[in-house]
Amino acid sequence: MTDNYRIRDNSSEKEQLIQMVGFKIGKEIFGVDILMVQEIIRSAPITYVPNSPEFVEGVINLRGSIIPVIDLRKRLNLQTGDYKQETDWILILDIGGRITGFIVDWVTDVIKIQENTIDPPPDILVAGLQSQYIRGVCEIEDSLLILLDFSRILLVDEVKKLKNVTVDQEKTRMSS
Amino acid sequence: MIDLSLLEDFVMGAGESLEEMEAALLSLESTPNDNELLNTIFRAIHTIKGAAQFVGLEKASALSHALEDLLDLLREGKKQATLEIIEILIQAKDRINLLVGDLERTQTEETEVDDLIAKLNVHLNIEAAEENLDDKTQAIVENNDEETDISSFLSNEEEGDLTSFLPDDDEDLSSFLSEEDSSSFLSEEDNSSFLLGEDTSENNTSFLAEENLSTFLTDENEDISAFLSETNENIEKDTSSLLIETKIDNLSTLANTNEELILPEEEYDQELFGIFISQLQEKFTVLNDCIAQLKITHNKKELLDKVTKALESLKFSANYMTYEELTHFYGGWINKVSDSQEDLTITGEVSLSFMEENLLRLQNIFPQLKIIETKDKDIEQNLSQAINSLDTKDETLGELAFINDLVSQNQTINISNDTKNNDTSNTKDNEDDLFNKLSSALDVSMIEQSITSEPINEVFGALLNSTEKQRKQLEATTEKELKESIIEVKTLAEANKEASPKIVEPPKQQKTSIGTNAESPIQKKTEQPVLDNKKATKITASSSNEKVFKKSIRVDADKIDSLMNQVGELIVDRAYFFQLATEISELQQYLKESGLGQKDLKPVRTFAYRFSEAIISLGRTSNELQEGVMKVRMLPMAQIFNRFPRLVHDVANTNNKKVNLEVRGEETELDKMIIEEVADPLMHMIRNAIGHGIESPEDRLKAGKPATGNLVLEAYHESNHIVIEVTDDGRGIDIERIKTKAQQMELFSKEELERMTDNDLTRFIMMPGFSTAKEISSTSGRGVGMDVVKKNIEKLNGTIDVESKKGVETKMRLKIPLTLAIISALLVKVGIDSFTIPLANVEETLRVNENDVSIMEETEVMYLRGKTVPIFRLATLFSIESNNKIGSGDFFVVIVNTGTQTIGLMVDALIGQEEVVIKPLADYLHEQNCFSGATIIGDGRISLILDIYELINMTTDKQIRKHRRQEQKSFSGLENED
Repeated sequence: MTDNYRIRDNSSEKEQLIQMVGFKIGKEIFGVDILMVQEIIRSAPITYVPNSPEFVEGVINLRGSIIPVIDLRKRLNLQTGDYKQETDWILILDIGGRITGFIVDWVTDVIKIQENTIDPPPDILVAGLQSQYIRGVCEIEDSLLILLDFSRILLVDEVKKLKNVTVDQEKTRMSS
Repeated sequence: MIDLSLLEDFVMGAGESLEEMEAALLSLESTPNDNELLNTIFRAIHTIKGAAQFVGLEKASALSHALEDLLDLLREGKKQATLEIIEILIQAKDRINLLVGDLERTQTEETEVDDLIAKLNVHLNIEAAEENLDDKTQAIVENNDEETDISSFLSNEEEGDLTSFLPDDDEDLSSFLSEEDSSSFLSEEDNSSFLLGEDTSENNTSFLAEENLSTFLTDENEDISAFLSETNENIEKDTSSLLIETKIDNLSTLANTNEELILPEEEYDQELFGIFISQLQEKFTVLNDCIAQLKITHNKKELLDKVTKALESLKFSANYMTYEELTHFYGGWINKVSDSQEDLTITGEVSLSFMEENLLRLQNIFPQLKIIETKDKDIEQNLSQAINSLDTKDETLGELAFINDLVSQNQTINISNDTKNNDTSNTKDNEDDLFNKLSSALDVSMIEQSITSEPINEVFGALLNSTEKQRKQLEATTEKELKESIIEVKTLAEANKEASPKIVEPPKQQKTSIGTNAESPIQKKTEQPVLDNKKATKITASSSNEKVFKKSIRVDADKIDSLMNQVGELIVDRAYFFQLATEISELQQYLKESGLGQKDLKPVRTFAYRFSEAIISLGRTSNELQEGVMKVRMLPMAQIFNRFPRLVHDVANTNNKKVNLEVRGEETELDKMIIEEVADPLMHMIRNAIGHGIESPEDRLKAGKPATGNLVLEAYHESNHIVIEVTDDGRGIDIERIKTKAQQMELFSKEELERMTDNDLTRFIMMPGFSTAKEISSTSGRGVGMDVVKKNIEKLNGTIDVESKKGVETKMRLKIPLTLAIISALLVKVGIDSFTIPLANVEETLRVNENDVSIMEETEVMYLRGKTVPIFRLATLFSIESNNKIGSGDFFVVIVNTGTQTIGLMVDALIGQEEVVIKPLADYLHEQNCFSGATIIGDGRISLILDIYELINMTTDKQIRKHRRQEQKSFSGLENED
């Protein structure tokens, strides 16, 4: 995935601006390509689906479509922040045709960054996150914007092996 | 070269034709002499062939062409549709199917067809030889028979008694005209499609009869004068009694043959026809040149090749136009050419006479071809030639037709002569008389030929032919005569108008064309197609009965699905409105309680009332819409039932069994998606029924049953479900064998088995890996079939039941919901969540007291009418906090079943029954859990739909795990509490 970015960098002569929707989980700022974002909604009634993976918060009714909602914090295994907001934000993303909602803490403005300022993910873990979910990082105003690779986050095989993955992640984190 | 853009259409069209063909083929097996079936098959294969040639598929068209040849023999009764031949036809059908499959996947024709074509040709050749002999003798016999018969009639005609046959008042003329018209329609439909060799030329002349009539009347106005002046001369030349006898003879033969022909109708397209004619003209010139050169050149082989090529392309174009008789004519011609090519290599000599004859015939069929100058001298020459060959009884078929044609010209001349005489004697009544004479002549032949229409057409056709022949002589006529004749025609046209006030529409068209054409003969060409079109519509109308049946639009299934989704939304919205209505009445109540006066409340009440009215109306409309859209998705069961005769035929053959398939209720409609899903299980069941159920003919006879087994396939509606039954009168299910097998497999102990009812035992056949068959065959025995059937049916929220009487019958009963998209369901509440249980699975709902529940093997069970039913708490299964605390007394239990198993689900509350729209869940939510989807209920919240089948599996898995755990515990001696 990071390769893709490099290739694009090389191919575009001019410095290209890309627009990102920034959002926060805990203290970290993440970014997702604005083209993937279908809409952003404030809390909707979530119906719990029994026996589903732990990070699947449930399903919501988005104007007649039933959309699964994933708690990104749980999915990425980020430390659960102490403070919990009254209402969450749900980012509705179109990931390769699968419409999926992601619960995040806060959605910021649209962030414009130059493509060539995106660096490949560092080898060391960023914000306790495995680099496989990171597309790249980019510095903005003294903080680090983490570009997430949602297609990896929603990789079905991985989702299925959810529990193992969680265990693995735990192990990895502990060993590192 | 394959045209890719057309390929898709070809694949779809061919698929339909093949299905039609297969059905007909299979019924042909039982009634081999059914001409209607043969025609259906022929039509199907012909459609495929035409399309294949159009798209440019060589193999498909070659194979279908060979098939057509064979079918032709069958249809003409020259060959019996033996089982062997039917088998070949089925094989060929399969091969075409393979080709179509190839095309769909790879856009190329991969499957080989040559072996089959060779097979077909073997049959064809044998038949061709026989046919030739048969035909010759037959033709000769007919010849002799009718000669005597008709000569008497002939003498009448010759004596000029014609007028006496018909009163000459106007009304009769008009009635004649309309009659003539309709009959020419008939003949046109008939003849255009196929003809026997003998009457090719006549029929084709009559084919153009109407056109010829107008031509005769208008465009060829010059000809009329020539006609009138020349007829005497012609008569002297041509009316020898022998000729007339032969002519009449042929006429009757023709009439007879035509009576027997029941032919598929066809339509034509003026544009295509134009292309066809221009191509014909071109090739005709080529052929003409070739033949001329053949006479002088030594390089005959090359020329013959050229001829063959030209003929091939003519044949293809004729075939494309679906002129079957022409195609045959060309085919025969090509064969002759190749024969003479062989002769050439052997003897170095070629007989060219047939070529000239054929060319002439072609020209007679299509008067548009005006290349060869045919003079009376030529006619005579050809005639004598033809007679000679008739004598030698060689090539009787072709010659007869040829003579026939020539002779009919003579007849025309004869008639015209009468007309001429009359004209000269009474110039004032010229036009009327001409018509009267004509019609009387026609009427005579009509009466004599027992009301077949062909002779009339023939006369008209022949009329044109003779006028054409006399065109050359026209050049001799003076300017003055020409003008006169134009006036003549105009008056003729007027007379015609006056004389036929009651004429039906097509003749009117004719009249107008007469009027205009008299002034500008060039328009004739443009008028003709109009006429043709008119005919085409008429023909279509006559066949509309059949067409209406097949009237359909091809729509992308996705579009229907999206429409269905929209309707689903509407249903949800409707539920929302109902909810709102309730809220309004609650609000009303609240306002009332909060002390609002009656006066203030009134507008609220009125509004609430009107609102509910509007909702009821909305509900009605949306219900109808929902039903309508669902109906769009519905297809008759015939869609899959039609595949089964073939399956039965194949399976019965491989198992050496005799099976008669009876299909009932094939018109029962079912959702398209379900139909597809049901096809496979049904196929398994039918295979089972034949493979296991129905005994071999010997065993059946021993058991006192007829040797042929009966397999009944029946579909019918039962409330919101469709029931499909597969019943065979075979040996039935052997309960004892099941018991033995179950014991062998250590599924249950002997005591348990003894306690089970027959019904329970029968259900074992649906267990994976359970088969009582002694050995594994290609079709059955692995014990997988029924398991798959059961799974597939349960996936559709359906159930399967097996009833069997040993030695009498086995009945499998599938019960499937009508549609997958919208189901009736029971809504239940557990904790704060609501769940949806498909009503198809719900047996009953009970209110159970806690005391009625006991615990067996760590599972709660209750006794329901003498049966033990395990009960599962949904709250526990789903780890939801339930409002139902243990020890709270009564609770609700929903008894659900999947046909084989029954369990009770404990819920907090029953909400009610509703029509719900099923929406899919994301795949990672779908797998490994017990929800088949979700639905949106009235208040906009989501309710998950329980997949009862999975749920039961899950619970039994849990039970099994528990069992194992217990066993392990007891083994290890650990008696810890779980």
